[in-house]
Amino acid sequence: MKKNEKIRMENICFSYKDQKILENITVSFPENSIVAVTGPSGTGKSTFLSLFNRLWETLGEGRLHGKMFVRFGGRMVDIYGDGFSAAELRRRVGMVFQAPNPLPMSIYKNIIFPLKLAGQRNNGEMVEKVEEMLMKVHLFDEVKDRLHSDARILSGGQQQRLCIARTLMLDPEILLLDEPTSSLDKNGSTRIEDLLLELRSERTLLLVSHYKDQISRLADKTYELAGKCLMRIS
Amino acid sequence: MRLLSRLSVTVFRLAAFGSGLLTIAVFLMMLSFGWPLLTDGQFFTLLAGEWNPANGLFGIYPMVVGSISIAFLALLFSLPVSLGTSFVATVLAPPPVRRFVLGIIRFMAGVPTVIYGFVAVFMLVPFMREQITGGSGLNILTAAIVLAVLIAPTMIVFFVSGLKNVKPEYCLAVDALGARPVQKLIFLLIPQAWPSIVSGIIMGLGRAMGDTLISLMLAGNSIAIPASVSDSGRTLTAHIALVIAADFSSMEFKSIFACGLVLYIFTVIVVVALRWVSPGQDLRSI
Repeated sequence: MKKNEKIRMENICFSYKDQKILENITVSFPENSIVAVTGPSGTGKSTFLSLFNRLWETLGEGRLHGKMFVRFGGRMVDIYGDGFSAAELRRRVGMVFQAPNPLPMSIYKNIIFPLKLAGQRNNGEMVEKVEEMLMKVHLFDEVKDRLHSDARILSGGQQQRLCIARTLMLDPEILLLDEPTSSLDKNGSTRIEDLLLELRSERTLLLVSHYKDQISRLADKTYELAGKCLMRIS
Repeated sequence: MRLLSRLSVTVFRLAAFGSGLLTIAVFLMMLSFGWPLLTDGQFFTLLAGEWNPANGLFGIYPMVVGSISIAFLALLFSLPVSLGTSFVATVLAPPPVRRFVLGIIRFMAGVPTVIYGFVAVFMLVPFMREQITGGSGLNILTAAIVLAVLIAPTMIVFFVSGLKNVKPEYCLAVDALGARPVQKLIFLLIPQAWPSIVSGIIMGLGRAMGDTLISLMLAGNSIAIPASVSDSGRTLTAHIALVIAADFSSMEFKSIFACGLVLYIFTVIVVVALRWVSPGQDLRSI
C-alpha cells in the first residue's frame, strides 16, 4: 500500500443488464491530485465514476465484482463492505454532473440542503458556511442580493458553480466530476477549471472529460477507458 | 399529414368540450327533475329535515350524514395506508418487492366491488357483530372499512404515478448528496408529487362518496340519523338505488334527484377546496 494512496481498485468488473462494461481493473489514485479519465463516448466513463460513490446502485440491475478501497481517516476502507452505507459514502465522496442540477428551491436552500440531510440544524453556522462556500466558488458577489431567489433562474455557469458549492458543503474528501464544463461556454469553463485547480490542494478529484486541452491543463494523471479496460496514458 | 394533424386536434378539442358539456347537462337534468321539490318551499327542509314519506317529508339529511361519515371515515382509514404503500412501492422497498406490491395493487383495482362486499358480508360483518360493534354488524364502521380497501388502489396508483414522475435529475442530485430513502421522500418526492397526491385524495374521496354497492350491502340502510360509527346508516347513493327500485313518479322519487344534486355539489366543493389548499410544486416545506 502506497503512503499517499487515496483510492485503490482491485480486480473490478462491472456489468449492467448482463452487458460487461468494465473488466478486471486494478488501479490506485493518489490523494490531493486530479486524475482524469477520458475515452470514446459510450465506453462507461460515467458508470466508472459512479462506482466511487455507489450511485449506480440507485439505477438497479448493475453487478460489481472486486474490491474498492478509499482512505478515510488514515485507514483504507472497503466502500462496498458491510457496515458502510451508501448514504454515508456519498456525503464523503461528492459528485458534480455534466448538466447542472439545482433543486427546485432557492439558492440558499440549495446550498444548505446537504447540511439538512446530515442533520445539522444550527442556522447561524449554516449562514456562515453558505457565505464561505459561495466565496470559494466565486459566486457570492453575483448572488449575494438574491440568495432567496429560485436557483433555476441562474445562468448555466452559475448553476454549475452553485452545484459545486453545494457538493463542497459537507467537505468531501473526494470529488467526482462528470464532464462538469461540457454544457458551459468558454468563460464559464475557465472559471470552473480555476476552481478545480484550487480544490486540488485539499482533496482528490476524479475528472471525466472529453477535452484533451482541459485534461492537459488540469490533470496530474490521465487514464483512458477503452475496451472495458483502464490504461494510463500520461 | 397536416390535415390529419388538424383533424386530430379538432376531434380531441370536441371530445374535451363534449365532456365538459356532458357534466353540465347532467347537473341541469338533475336540477330539472328535482325542481318540483326545490320550488315547493321544501329546499331547506329537504337538506335538513327527516325522511318520512308517509307524512310528506322527503328530507335527505340522514343520507347526507351517512354519506359524509362513511366517505370521510373510509378516507381516514385508507389515506395513511395508501401513502405508506405508495412510499414502499416507489422508494423504500427493494425493486423486486416494489414490483410485487404494485402488481397486487393493480390486481386489487380490478376486483369488482361486489366481491369486496360479498367477502365482507361473510367475514367482516360477523366479526364486527361479535367482537366490535354488536348489533347486526351492518353499520357505518363496517362499510367504511371495506370502502377504505376499495378506494386504496385508486389513491395508490395516483400517488405512485406522482412520486415516479419527479424529474430524474432532481433524484440523482439528492441521491448524490447522500440522502437516505426516507429523506429523499420527505425533502424531494412528497413536495414535488404533492399535486398528484391531492388528486389521488380527491379521486379516493370521490369514489368513496359515489360508491353505492358497499354502503348498500354493509351500512345497514337505516334512515335514522346515525349517532355513532356503530350505528346503521344510509348513504345518498344507496338511497337513490333503493328508491329507484320501487318508485318512478312520486315526490319521493323526485327527491332522489335532490340527492344527486347534493352529491354533485359536494364533489365540486371538495375538488375546489382541495385544489385551493394544495400548494404548488416548489419545495416549500424545507
